[in-house]
Amino acid sequence: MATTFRKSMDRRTFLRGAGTVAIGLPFLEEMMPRRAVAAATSGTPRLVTLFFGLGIDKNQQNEGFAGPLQPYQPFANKMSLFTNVSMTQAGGGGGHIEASPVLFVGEKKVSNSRAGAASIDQVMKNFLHKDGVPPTLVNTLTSGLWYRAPAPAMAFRVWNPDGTNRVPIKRPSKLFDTLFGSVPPPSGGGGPDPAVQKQLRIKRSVLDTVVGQYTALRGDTSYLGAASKQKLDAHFQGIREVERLLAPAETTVTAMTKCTVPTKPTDPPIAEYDRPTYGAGFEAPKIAWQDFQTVYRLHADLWAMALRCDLVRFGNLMFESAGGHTHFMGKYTALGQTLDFDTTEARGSQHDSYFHANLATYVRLYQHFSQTNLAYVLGKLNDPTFLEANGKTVLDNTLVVIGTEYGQNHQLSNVFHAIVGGHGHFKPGTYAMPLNAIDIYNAALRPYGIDAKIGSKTGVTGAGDIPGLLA
Amino acid sequence: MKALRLPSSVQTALAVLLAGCMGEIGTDTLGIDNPSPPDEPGGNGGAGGGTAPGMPIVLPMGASPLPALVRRLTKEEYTYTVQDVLGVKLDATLLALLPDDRSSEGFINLAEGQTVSAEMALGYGKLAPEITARMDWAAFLGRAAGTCIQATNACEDGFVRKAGQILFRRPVRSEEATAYTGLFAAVVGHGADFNASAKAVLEAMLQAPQFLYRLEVERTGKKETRQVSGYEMASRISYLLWASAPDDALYATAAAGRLTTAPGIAAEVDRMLKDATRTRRVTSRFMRDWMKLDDLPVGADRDAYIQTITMLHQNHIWTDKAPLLEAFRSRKAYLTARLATAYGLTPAAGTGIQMYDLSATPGRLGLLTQPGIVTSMSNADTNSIVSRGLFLQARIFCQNATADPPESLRGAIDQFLAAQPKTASQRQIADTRLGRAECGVCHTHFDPFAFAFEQFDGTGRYRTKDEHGNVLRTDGWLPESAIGERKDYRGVEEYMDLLVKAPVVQQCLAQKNLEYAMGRKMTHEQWPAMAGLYGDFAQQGGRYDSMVKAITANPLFQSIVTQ
Repeated sequence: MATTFRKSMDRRTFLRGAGTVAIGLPFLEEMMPRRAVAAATSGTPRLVTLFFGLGIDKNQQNEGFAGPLQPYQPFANKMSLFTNVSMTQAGGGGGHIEASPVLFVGEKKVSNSRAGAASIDQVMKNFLHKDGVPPTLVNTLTSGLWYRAPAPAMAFRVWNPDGTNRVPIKRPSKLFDTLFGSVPPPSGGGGPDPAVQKQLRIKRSVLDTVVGQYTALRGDTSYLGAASKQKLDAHFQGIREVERLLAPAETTVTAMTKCTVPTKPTDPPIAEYDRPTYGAGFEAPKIAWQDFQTVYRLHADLWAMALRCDLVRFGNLMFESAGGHTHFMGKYTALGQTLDFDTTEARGSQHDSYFHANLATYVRLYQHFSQTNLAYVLGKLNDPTFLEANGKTVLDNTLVVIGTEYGQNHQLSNVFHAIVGGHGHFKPGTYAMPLNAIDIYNAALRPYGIDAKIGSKTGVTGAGDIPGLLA
Repeated sequence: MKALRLPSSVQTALAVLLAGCMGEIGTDTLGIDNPSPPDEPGGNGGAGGGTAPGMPIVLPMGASPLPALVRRLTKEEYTYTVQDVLGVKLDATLLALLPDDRSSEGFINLAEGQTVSAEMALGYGKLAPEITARMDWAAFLGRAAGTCIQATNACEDGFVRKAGQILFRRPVRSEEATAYTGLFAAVVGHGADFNASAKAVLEAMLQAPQFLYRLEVERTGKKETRQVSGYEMASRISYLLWASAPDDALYATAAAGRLTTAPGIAAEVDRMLKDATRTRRVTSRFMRDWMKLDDLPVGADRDAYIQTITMLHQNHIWTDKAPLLEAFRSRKAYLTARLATAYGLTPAAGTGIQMYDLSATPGRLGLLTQPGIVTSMSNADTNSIVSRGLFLQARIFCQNATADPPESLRGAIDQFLAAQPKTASQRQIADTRLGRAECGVCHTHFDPFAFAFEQFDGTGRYRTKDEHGNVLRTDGWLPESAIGERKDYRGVEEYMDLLVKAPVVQQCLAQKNLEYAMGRKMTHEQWPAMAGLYGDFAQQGGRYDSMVKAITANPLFQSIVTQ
């Protein structure tokens, strides 16, 4: 059933037709809900991980804000950078497929489709919301744009406790639907009108029955075996995640009517949405870097609005996949140099041309491109014109963990990580002492009362506390 | 009682554990003699033989049964089921609500690889009201409720049981009836009339596990391998042959208990094979998955590749009724004018896809030389021998793909490739690679599969010299590790002859079809139970219909492991 949204302003087309790459940035700026309710207080823990693929050379990390990390300069006073991090527990020869499922998890993978434990966003979510997240929230959000990841281990960054994955959303329009699709229209009294209420009750009854069927078949008296129950459990969890969209409870509806909903964006016309989740072979589809960036920033804008509205608290936004094989096109200028993607990618993608070939100059500019876009996300969260109840920005009130799957040219050392925001729990600065990724994850969760003991499954000890990190 | 006629390999394989067993296996009265207990799926005390649990089966010596695992309907199966059962053809806009199925190791219907995302659950939830809004509601109501359309317990219960039977592919269990009549009453309580309430019930059923999954009884309190019940067999057969739910005739056969008998199964298979539309859904999907056609790169020829390859396959099976393996030696091609030109042929008169005889076309022979398949097995725009070899190793020889080289060799590999002359052909590089011990130890197992295709570039275009002027060779060998003893070939024709005659290739074809039929990945543990499968269908002509009959008679297809 179509939902009529309350609009914070007139409908506007974000992008029309092909070749309109430059249109609309920052097209969502005006759409930001100025009157949105800042439901999250300063004490509301949120954890969002930001991923970028292929890693940054050690030397370039050491350049500080003069190299690929330059885009983070505006956030220097909110950012803890870790430049000497290993993930050697990945083992297995250290391919992308081994390394990437360790990121944000800390444990060695179980298989190419199963991580060794939950990702840290899920660790926090499950610790804080043992009975499930509040009904006004999307359970977990994962989105982004990427190409070529032959297995979930490379493609996905959010892992459930049993090691299964959550599939990221590629299309901005689907991301919008997931976040805002069920926010109902308000009535004069602040809640939905009676006709809507009746429909909501019917929908709720339908969904309750459906959920009851999955529950029964997962139960002790089911005629299904353990493996089949597990499959149905995955379906059950999927329904739980979207029940807010399928059949929001009346209390949910009343709360959500306070969120000003932006206009649904039109998907920029790129082919990446429909490419197979697992790309075949080493094909490297071409895309102008500006087009890729446009879509990524649409994701970022929607994430920022969702966090403002307190529609989501946990998840991941990814920029390319581990071992990403997108063939970017066009000229990119930064740090006083120009990278011509068209002519430098003789082997098909920056992954092959720059990283395998160990061409540091190209890596430097390519990763500047990546970090510029991650910094865009941080900027959206750090918007000083939207402060939450404690007078802080959304970024201040969100634990953001940035990471990638590698260090220099496929090495499991010097894997760049950063913590940003984090409710004032972390001191900004650069931490160059030898660390394992588990040190960062455990340290990030500890101020929230979570003793996750990440690494214990794989038997990684790490360095323990990170001197000087906690405020 | 009629005796069950079993294929040769199964005769020795299938046995009955007589303890607690009534009568002979496969007797027509089997199901009727074992009335369905009320707590069986579909059991309602009077459903007839379809719900009766099957008889114990002993698999051939050394074979392990497949552990039970529910299968979700694939997106295509869901679509066809909605179309066939409810008469609603989902358009592209509606289909976009569901994410596409994905395969990381073979067919998209393999239960082991199926996932469910929140997006998928949302899609089912959104599609349910769209389907009830689009279906011929009056006709369905007439079928499911007759004239009993008052908000009474009897009418609500009647609708729930009939609608559930239609959607769940078996009678409704008592606790399911309770749940759905409860929903019916609740919706009425919200102020809805009978029609609206019945639609709400149907929306719930369309999202229910009983509809979206193929559920079978896995727990009986007894650990054994048993024959599936009649209704379970009906679903197995219908999704194998039609990618859709059983029709009324198949359902009636199941209800009568005849799908636990060989004659009953064979008769239904014969009948269903005559449906020219629905059977082609399955053979099309098989080819797309087997040759990874859906992963073909996006480009001008992608759709044409898929259409022409599936048409070749479909016509080979359904029009020519030729033995399946002979597709490797087919002289036919179905081509668009553009593709015909690429073949060096003069485009035939007429529009669309036309059939061409390739007898005089150099280099082209059979399915595997179709440019779309060559593209699929190649590495993007290169004629990578490694990529092709691995593709053929997995799909034609059913060998586990050789693992990627360890990262520790990455530097050596880069050095090796950098050291090769820029003008070297792929074959020359491969020969050098095979000569190096650290490379050859693995590459010798799959590179030679690809040598016959050297005259095709990465997009399947035929040439006798590469861009550097190297004369391209097509001689090679099938390695001992694949077929038991090394067999040399001098070109595509000899290569295809070897494939058709190689028992391992024959078995692989049977295994691929069985995996697709079961929606399960086979391992060496099932090998003894499928070892005779190719022989069974080869004896009957080696055609698709004989293969389907052999599969439906195979003990793996007929059985389930309970606990």
